Amino acid sequence: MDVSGVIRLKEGFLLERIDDEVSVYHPTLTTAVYLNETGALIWELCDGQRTVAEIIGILSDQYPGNEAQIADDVKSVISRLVEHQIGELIT
Amino acid sequence: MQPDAPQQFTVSFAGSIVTIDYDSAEALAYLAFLFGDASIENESTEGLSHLVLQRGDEPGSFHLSDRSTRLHYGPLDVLFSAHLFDSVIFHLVNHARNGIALHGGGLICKGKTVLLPGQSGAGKSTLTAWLTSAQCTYLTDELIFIPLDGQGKVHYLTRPICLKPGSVPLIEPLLQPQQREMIMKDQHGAIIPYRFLNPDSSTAQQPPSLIILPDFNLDSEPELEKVSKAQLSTLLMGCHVNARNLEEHGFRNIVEIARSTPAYRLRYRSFDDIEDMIGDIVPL
Repeated sequence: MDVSGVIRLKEGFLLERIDDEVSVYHPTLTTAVYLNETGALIWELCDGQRTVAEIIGILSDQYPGNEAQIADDVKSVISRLVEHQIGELIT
Repeated sequence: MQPDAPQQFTVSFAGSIVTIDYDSAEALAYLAFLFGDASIENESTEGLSHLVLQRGDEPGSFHLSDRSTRLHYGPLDVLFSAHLFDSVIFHLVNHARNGIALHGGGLICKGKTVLLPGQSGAGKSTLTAWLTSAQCTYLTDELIFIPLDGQGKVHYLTRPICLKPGSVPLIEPLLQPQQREMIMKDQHGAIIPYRFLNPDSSTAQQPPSLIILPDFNLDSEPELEKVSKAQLSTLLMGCHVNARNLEEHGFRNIVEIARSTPAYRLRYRSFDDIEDMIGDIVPL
């Protein structure tokens, strides 16, 4: 994954936050994605301006000592959002 | 009855009706076997659709058509039944707008209404059959309709239990020897009257109070795992069959169901696995 890319979320998705987790559904795409607590944090940082690297950096600052795991988690979540067409990675 | 002229068989569910024209006693017996428990309810209808089941030119073969479109041709076997169920269920939910139609099994176990949602191949009919044989009251192995406002009754499409080929050897031993001669069975699977596993029936109308997501997997270790509400919401959207008829595809209503109903994923390889795990969540 090109971590200099920016994840842009598609318009029109529906979102529910439940107990620190997130369920996202896009009616036009008829696709649903579940994000656990970690995924929900990553989702919050996908503002259409931040690069993948910046998101990794922000979370690494918040949770020092877990940089490798954080990088894997961020890339995994973004890959799922792209796979479900809820997000698009702009490089 | 030996009909001389086309007769009409009616299947109703949650306010929708499908009528099936038929032209033989054999067709009537077949329709009664498949849909005899889907009774006519005295309520207003939202949709009325029409199918035709006619004798074909070859002996023992039948046409299934939807007005002018032929849907299937062949003997009245498990494969034909699958096509007929698909067509009927499509038409029953196609115009349904005042509730959530979910693909899944339903039973009542010691007063607890259990929903088993899942996509095709997940093992829900197999688990439904086993729980029925364990003296849970069978409601459906296929379709549940939950009203949007939470006020109306919940509908369960009661039909014989439909098993894929891989599940038949698991369920057949639960039947009495004479019952095994009375099921519909061929290379496409089996269709088993639920009364062979448990004669109890119910006109239950209450919503589920427990959700179990079956995961039949020969390659995985058995596991009973609590499913979070957010995860359940996402999974239920995959089982939601009339989404396009509803505002926001019924997503908010699905989330409310997930918020209010505890859920578990049951991963199993055999019925022994189920017995070991199920007692933690389902009274038997």
